[in-house]
Amino acid sequence: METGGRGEVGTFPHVSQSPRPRVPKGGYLMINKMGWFCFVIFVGIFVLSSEYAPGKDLLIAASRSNYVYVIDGTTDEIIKTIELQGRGFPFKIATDPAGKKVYVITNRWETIAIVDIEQGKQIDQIELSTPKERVKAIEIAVNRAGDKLYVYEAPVELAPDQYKVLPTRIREIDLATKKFIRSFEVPRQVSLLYFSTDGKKLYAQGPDIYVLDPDQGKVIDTIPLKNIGITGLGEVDVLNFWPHYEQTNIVSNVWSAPDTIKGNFVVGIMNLDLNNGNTEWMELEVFSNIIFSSVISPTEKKAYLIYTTLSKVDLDQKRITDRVKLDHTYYAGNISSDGKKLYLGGTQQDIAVYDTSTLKQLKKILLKGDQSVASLKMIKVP
Amino acid sequence: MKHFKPVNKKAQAKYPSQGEETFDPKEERTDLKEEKADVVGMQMPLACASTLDPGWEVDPFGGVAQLCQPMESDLYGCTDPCWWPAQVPDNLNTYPNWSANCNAAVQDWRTLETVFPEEEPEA
Repeated sequence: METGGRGEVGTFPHVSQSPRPRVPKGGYLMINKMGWFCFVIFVGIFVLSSEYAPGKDLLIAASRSNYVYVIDGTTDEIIKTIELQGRGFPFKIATDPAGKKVYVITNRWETIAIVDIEQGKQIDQIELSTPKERVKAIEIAVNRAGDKLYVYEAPVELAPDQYKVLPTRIREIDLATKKFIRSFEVPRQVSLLYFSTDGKKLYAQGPDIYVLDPDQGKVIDTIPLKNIGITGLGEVDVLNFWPHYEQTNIVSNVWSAPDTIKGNFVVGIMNLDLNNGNTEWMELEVFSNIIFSSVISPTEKKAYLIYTTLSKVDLDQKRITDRVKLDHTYYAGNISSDGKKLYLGGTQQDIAVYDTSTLKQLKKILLKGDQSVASLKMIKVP
Repeated sequence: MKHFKPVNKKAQAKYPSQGEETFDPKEERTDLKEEKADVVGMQMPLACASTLDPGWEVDPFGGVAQLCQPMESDLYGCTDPCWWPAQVPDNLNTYPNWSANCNAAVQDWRTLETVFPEEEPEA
């Protein structure tokens, strides 16, 4: 039988056969150990310096016409620009607990795009509308287990001769199969959905905050906002589109209301702690500056208020301690895990990075279009 | 009166064809009663300009200083959620291409389209 077949070792006459070098006992073992050590060090350095290193902050933004961005929280550079399929424009963004995917409302708010942030592309989508029913998604949230998506919908029946406004509802979707599990009615004007940290309560925030049992699909409690009924305060007005609570699990709402005793308007914040459901109300100042949103520091007892000014609030003293003017309006912001950098976004086509200690601008990150009311979410790579 | 037959989509959907059921115009139209009650609130009547909502013109203090700066910053933030249904085209439904060439409103606002009501087809 001839040698040299596939997988066999043949003898090549033109190659001189030298004697095998002598290796000290245990030498190969030593090289192997050193090799493995170097390999592990190399891989470790590579992983820790990579864009998706564990513990690293990734900022997820979106803009017109139909883009999602992954921004490195260390360098504040865009590392992925992901064009979504179909017509824009992106609106709310929800992140999964594993930090691998994001869900984005797009396509005139009738589609949920599923985006893999490591691959940097849209991998799937969920269509909400049908020929008989036009559905606009106003808000989305992934449950804490990461297996279900909850969509707050405003549906309209497209009858042959009329459009019939249907009750607003929350639709529950199985993320593994993309199947609609069920839907249940909830009040109108909800703009935010978020879960308690134990995953047992789903909060739907509108004029008041409706507390739902996601398993039963029922409103089990209501946390008053508009109807808080504090003596000396009139009807409370809250504007909150921005689900930017992920660094602290505290949802911070800016409110304004007439002071019925003094006859002016006052502004404050109401913080809802998703760990225990506790709320904290604080009045901050007489209404002289419009403020759209608030985000809480994960490292200090501070809050940051955002609109055409940026203000710092001492949560212990319950007062504004610093305020700077911004070069243009930003609707909302998010904060880094170490509490040192604030990211202001929404409205125009840039994200401004600010130092939280000095309230000085560090950088601007330019996007491809206006963000409008798109979310600015933060992911900590697990 | 028994010889009416449905000739358009609405009639076909609401009334069975001739012979299956008679149509008496004197009968009370319960569906019309329901339509009269079909008034629902806007999805998001929130209030950044709470003295005039929908509002682009003035802030809560009767001026413009507290509106978004510059004004174009606020264009999509308000039109996308249909906040200004009277002043600008509906981006989400009827005029989705109104702002297709204007991704950055502050720089490109001149490229916003002009829209006109679509003419009803003649009967």
